[in-house]
Amino acid sequence: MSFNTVTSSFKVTRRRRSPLMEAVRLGLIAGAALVAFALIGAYSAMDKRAVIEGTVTLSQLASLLIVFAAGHVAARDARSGTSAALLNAVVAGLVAGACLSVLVWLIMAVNLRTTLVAASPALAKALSLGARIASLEALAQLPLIGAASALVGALVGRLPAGAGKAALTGLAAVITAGLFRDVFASMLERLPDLTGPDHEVFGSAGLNPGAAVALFFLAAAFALVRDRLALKRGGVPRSGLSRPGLVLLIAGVVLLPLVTNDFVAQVAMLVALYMLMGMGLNIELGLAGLVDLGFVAFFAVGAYTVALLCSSGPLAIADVSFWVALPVAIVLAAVAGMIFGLPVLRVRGDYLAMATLGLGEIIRVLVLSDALSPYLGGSQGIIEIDHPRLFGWELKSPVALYYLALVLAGVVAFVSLRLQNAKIGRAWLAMREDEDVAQALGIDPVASKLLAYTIGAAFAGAAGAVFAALIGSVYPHSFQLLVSINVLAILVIGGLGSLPGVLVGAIVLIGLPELLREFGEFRYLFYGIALVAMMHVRAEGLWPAAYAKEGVHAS
Amino acid sequence: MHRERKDAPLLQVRGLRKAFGGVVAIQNVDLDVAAGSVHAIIGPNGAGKTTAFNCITAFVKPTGGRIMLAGERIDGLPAHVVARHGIARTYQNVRLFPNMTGIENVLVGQHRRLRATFWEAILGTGRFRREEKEARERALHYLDFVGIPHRAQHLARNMPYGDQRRLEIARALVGDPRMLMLDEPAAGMNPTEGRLLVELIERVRGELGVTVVLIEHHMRVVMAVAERITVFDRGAILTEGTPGEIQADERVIAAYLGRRSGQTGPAPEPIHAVPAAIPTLEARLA
Ligand SMILES: Nc1ncnc2c1ncn2[C@@H]1O[C@H](COP(=O)(O)OP(=O)(O)O)[C@@H](O)[C@H]1O
Ligand SMILES: [Mg+2]
Repeated sequence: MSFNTVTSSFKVTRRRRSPLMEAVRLGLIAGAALVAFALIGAYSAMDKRAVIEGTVTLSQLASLLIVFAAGHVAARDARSGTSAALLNAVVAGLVAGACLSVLVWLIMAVNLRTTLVAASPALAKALSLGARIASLEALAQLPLIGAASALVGALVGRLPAGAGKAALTGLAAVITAGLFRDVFASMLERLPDLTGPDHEVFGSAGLNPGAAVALFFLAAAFALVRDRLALKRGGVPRSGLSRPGLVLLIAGVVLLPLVTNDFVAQVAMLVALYMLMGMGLNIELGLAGLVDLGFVAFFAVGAYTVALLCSSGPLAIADVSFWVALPVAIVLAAVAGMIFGLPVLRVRGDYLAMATLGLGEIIRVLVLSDALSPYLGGSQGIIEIDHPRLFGWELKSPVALYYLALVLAGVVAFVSLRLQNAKIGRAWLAMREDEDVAQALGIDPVASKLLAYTIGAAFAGAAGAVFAALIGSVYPHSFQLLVSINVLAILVIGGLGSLPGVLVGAIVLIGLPELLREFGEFRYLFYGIALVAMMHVRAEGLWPAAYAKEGVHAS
Repeated sequence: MHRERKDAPLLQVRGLRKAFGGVVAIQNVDLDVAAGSVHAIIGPNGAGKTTAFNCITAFVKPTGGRIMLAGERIDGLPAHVVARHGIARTYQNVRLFPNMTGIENVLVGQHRRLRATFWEAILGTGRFRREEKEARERALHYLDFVGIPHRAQHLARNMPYGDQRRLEIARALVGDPRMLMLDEPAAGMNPTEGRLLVELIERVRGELGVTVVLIEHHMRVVMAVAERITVFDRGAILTEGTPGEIQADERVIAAYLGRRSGQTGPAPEPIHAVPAAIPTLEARLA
């Protein structure tokens, strides 16, 4: 797969330097990251959000993590013993913290605001952490905190593998809980209160400090136990689906909206929608290896079909039930896939991406064109689409529509799994691996690609149909290239060819950014950093297909 | 199983020609492969042996000539249709599906045998389940046949080279071909593996009744299994005959020696390959 070649070419080559110089260099890199973080305004924006109430804000946490990582790397790279490694980490942390101190001092001493808008006294105050702004105490504490954080990072890195992983899991659990306080807190509100009002897990802003400590140890213990169990069973499981993990995930997905609020249900609905599309593209790209950047076209066909058939507005051509319109939408999307697929699929490899890119745009341009505007509403779109009804009950709440999408996603997952384990699924995989050889074994390449494309389109059509019913209106601007790219990113992040990967990818790429909306554009910054980091550390995806996993552990 | 009547030509090639741009890779190639026989193709590197294979299996489109399988024209057909006529092959540089397991590779080889439709697969009908079960058993049987029953669950790319070559043969055989084409199957094998390969080829012909065409440099393998040998040199057929005739043919020796001085031909045979090439040649050169 070409993604792997791209990511594997990123290997960093390190020149040999003296260990201390290396530590200073790492400290400067981390320091530069911290300064940049502050100067783009992200620090101030994220400082309003507490992760652990009264103790750590999100921006402090992010800064700590940067230094933590630097300490971790510094200790890992040291070739000599533990004490030298820890010393390196401390040096890196001191340097990184000192960079921030310099920034604080500069902000107060020189007026930087003419060029750097974010370099305000408010920032300096925030970075002084309660001490008098830019006082000696304020400037001195930053390197010390940095050194401490880097030291912790180094210590975690020096722990035996199992314990280190447990510590990281604990940390991740605390950060997740703190970051998504609203989601978890609203869930806890619905549950019976076992601990009593004196022991709330969440305060009004973030995790309670006591709860954070408890959560850290719980998660760490969980990771330890899981590792032990895995060792007992004989190492890495061969299958991409670890059963208990999958059961938990599915249980969580099914129960989620019941225990939380409407906003979360709406986000979950969006995640489910992207999962539907993700599973469609998974057939094309994950299994058959067809890069499709025009995927949104079939989503649009499904949405417009439901819009035309179920709207009570002036553009409606029929007024049928959603349950009639849904299969029609799926079939029309599949037919569109077939019609578009025929000319496009004779093109090979990277050129296919270009050809499909064109297709995706064509649909949008067609809808906006003068010829079709009278029928499809042009940029005004189609409005007043009726909600689906089930036994006289109108599905219009986010929770109800979430379940609708979820049921469809379940059906689509089932069909995907069945096909994956049949002749056609193996033919797709074979073509992805080596098209010429697959053909020499009797596989008709065009026919099987066309089938993959058609099925992928059908799944996208189903997603479009639900989308129309959810929003109640469709506009051409909902069908941008960005949708196709998001779906593609979901697959890459989750793991190409892996169904649970689609779920994980949709949660991470669609769900989390929605929940972090309050940080505005900054969330995309972290989104981007996370993507790049992820391609470095885990290019096979978060929940990779079986083969990718084995490859990583075998090589 | 197809048991072809012996001696009737299964494969007939007439006037085959292939040019890559201006470079003529093969020309005037006539080849008859008797049904049920083991037919070897030898010749220096760059002589056009692989190109002939590629033309027959429709990997490349011939520039001219005719190819007939059991009397039916197959040139001009797409590769998957040629495969359905009953030609299966392996590759000089092993070409497995690296990220699929042993059994999955062999299951793909059964593609054209399986009948269950797309809808039957989705609904999981009885016929689909029976067929899948049978296909898996058959795949295991063929892994066993080539001697790698323990490789079913291993990824192809993680297997040792010799096992990869065997897996490739299993994948080709499982589709019930009439003719199996092996491109340098003994390359990179030690003498013991070479003997096992000879044994395997004999069982392919004897037990499965599959006609075998092989390109091979290891003369011990060729002399042990082949009934007829065609010698390629510089894109054309130099001569053809029984192993005894070929061993005694001065022109064959000259063709190999000609490469040794390295004046002609596109890709000279590495010198160390020459003595191993033909046992009698070894004696004459000494
Ligand atoms: N795809 C190709 N494009 C251009 N030239 C080719 C191609 N395949 C083979 N050739 C040329 O055809 C000639 C015969 O090659 P080949 O059939 O591989 O020889 P052999 O298998 O006998 O060693 C060589 O000169 C080779 O460079
Ligand atoms: Mg060759």
